[in-house]
Amino acid sequence: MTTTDATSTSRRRVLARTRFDFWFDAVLLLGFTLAYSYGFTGIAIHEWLGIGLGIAFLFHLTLHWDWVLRTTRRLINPRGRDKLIWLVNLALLAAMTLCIASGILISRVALPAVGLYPLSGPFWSRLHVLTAEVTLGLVPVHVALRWRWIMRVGRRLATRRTAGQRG
Amino acid sequence: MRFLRHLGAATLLVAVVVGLGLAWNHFAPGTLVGDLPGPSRQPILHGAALRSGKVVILRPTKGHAARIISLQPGAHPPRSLTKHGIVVVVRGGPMDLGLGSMFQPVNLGSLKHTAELETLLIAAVVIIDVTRRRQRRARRKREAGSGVPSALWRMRN
Repeated sequence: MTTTDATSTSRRRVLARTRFDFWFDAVLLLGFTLAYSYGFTGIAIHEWLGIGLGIAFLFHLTLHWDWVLRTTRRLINPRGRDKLIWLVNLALLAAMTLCIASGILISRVALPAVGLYPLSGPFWSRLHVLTAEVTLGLVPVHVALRWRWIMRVGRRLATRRTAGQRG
Repeated sequence: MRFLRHLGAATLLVAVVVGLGLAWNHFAPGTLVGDLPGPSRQPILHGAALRSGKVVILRPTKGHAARIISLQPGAHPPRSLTKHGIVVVVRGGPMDLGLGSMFQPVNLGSLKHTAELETLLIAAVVIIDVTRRRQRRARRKREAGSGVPSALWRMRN
């Protein structure tokens, strides 16, 4: 493989990963918006979607684990913005994990349907509501702190599509 | 292999957070006080008969958790319960997704409210970020013009 081929293959690979990140994160945001809107979805969709979001959230964390390690190591001398993003992400990790875990523990529809009757109690119900509200505040901040990346990638994807349609 | 290692690390981190939650419940459950906040936006079945299914009372009375009661088809939710709680009807079971009632205006409002809140927060963060960048650029221009090097220039040189 020549150097030009290797570079263009590598660029295509980076672009595919970026594309995947963009759309996966968009689906995550949409999924969270729907899951939070309990009145819209009703309890069954809310619970199944919540479980799906939990798995997707773990996948999202795994995909960006490199960033977690890199930024944590740099915390000794961080830029202000890096520290802010790290703190927001840490808070979001805690809130969303507790929200999903407490939701599973108070499940009334999804888990009993598969024969699992989890613990429940007022603590977990209150924790679920509290962490859901905290998550609702943090998710938009988490998204907005990356707005430049979103605009850049969105523009590149739109340009690719237009070029594809013309050609 | 790298993906699996990262997945393992992420799972471990999530497990630590869940463990902290369990510890919180075990050692200090009373720190989360108060009733469950806010009514859900599910329509309340005032006096309406049920076709089938269970009725879940979301908002507990003081000292009691949320309760589930079963009603026979054609039964009305007791007024004493609807007075104190918000009634959510789970019709046919876990796979009954309630798609038919999702787009009723009273339920659509919930989605609209969430989307509006998120949009406002995103807009606020973006505006703050853009404003701060412009202020930083203006400050650097002033410093470059006045001949006083900025901290960044000093670091780079």
